[in-house]
Amino acid sequence: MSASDPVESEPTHEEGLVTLVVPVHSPRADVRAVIKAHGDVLEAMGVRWEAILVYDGVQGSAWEAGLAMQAETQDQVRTIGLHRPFGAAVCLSSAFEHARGEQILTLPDYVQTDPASLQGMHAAMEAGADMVTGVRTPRMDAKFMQWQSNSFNGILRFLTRTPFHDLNCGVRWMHRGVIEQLSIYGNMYRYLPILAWRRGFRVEEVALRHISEQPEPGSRFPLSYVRRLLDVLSIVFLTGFTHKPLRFFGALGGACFLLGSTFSLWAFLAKQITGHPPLMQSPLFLIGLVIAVLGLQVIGFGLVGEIVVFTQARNIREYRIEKIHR
Amino acid sequence: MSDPAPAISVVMPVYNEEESLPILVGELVAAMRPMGEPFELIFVNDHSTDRSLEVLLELQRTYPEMVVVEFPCNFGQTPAMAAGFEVSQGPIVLTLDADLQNDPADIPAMVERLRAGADLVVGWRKRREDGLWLRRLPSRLANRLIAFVTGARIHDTGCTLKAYRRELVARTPIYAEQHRFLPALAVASGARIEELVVNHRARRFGASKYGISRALRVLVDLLGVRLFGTFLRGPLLYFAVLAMPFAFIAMVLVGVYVAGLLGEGGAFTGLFTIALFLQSAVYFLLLGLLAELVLLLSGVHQSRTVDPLTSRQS
Repeated sequence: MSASDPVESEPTHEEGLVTLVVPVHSPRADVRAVIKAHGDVLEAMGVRWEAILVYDGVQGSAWEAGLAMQAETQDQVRTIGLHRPFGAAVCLSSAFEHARGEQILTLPDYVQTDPASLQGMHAAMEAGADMVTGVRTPRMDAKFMQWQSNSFNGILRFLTRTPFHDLNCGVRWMHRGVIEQLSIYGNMYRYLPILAWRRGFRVEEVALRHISEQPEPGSRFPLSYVRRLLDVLSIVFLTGFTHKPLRFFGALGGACFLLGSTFSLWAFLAKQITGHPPLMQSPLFLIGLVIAVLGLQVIGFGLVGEIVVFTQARNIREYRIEKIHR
Repeated sequence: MSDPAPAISVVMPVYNEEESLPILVGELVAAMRPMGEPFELIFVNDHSTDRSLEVLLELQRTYPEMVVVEFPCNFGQTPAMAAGFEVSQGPIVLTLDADLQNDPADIPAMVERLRAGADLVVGWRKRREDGLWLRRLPSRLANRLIAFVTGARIHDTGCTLKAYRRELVARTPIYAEQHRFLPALAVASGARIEELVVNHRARRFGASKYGISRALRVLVDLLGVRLFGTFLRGPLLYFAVLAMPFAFIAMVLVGVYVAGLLGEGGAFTGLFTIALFLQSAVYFLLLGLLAELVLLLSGVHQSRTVDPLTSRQS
């Protein structure tokens, strides 16, 4: 990771200190407003905080504002600059490395929700939640975007059997233990609540008043849909079948094989009974053959997946021990 | 809080067993204290929804040999066992069902067999107390199949009562309901397995938590375990065997095609089918190469050919 960091990492974590982590994706982001709005609310609540701004290959006025703030606040606000855009997951993990707080609060690089709503999140954390994730209510963005977002969340709720209503909300408050126990990469930061939930952490949702919405960086019209679709596929695969790829590919391949065999057999029987069309000229026979062979190939693919998992088995921990009473 | 390091660890996954637990602990202690060795009883509470945890903690005050492990949510039986193994300290580890179906009185005999030189002692419920059609018959079929496919000649793979040498536990990965195949995996890595006929008692409290709906999953898993057994000798061979039928059919079709037996309009279909099957044969060979690469890079192969069991203590 080619992160140039003007800060030294601190190994100790302070109890009661909250680290605000703001990944900055836009050179025009008003980071000052974000930090000030949320910092003031936290101070009013009596919560000690620090902030880390992670610039995802971004310079411009936002970068200068960050450096200025770092100087003004004597490192209460710190900056990390990445040489090129690496995406949110790298931003977050490099910030976590340097965070001094025992708790982490991630925020988008603009004031997305009412900072006063942080009170509810803080209360939920105090009540014992491991992670609190925001739900934007009522939504201020276009009806179409809302519909899109709701159906995306609904599909994921159904497929992963988790209760989350707004995975696109960037405001999340968590203990650092949650991050330390989960490995996130690529797009997975978005699904942190799901992954944490599956690991047995207490994840709660708190309503936040929605103020403004900016489009996500790097998501243009057709590609964003493809990415969402792949996200759904990978999250379902990762939460359901990570350790048993053969079950996933075996079921898929087996179904293909059965379907294809049925087609071919049908064509064969039709030929035997009616004598027409000849087997070698029947499209159904050929299509069936192709699908059946594809099914076998998918099963073979699952076998390789199984080998990969098996060879990495010493790194697999499917559980998290809450407490040992000796 | 047992002061000397335990010589024997007993691991029990617990899920909603509040009624069985007091009896179980009593029986365990009655069976194991006469052995005169320090032992620990590890209960992994898989986030029971009843009072199991409270009952365990209460019992712990009377029996200091108990260790209670708490899960934050319901992870399942295999993770519970893996967690128990992780926490356990003894050179001998036993697993047991917490629902009283296994008899703790069998433990001393199992430990003795293990000390006599076995790496793994598997309980065999020769006289089972379950219904014939719903449990015994499917179970017998499954066991026959598992024994046939994996080559581990064991009558009763579903019996939780097993005794392991610690080295075996440490090097055999347990994940994703794999515990069922542990003997098969152990055989594949050259461990010595023995069977011991154990007592089986009918369930006294609660309902069985396992149905026969898992049959299909077990079958699919079996295919994978078979793979592990074979790929110690090289996955390429395994995949080459898978590629063979495709290559063979393609070859036959080439013969038929050359001999001109495909008849009117068959030329296109014939060539297409030949291409399809040839492609599949090549695909499986490539998968085999990929598997070889993964195995090589992981280093698992190397650590398995040198048997760590040679360093066994007497």
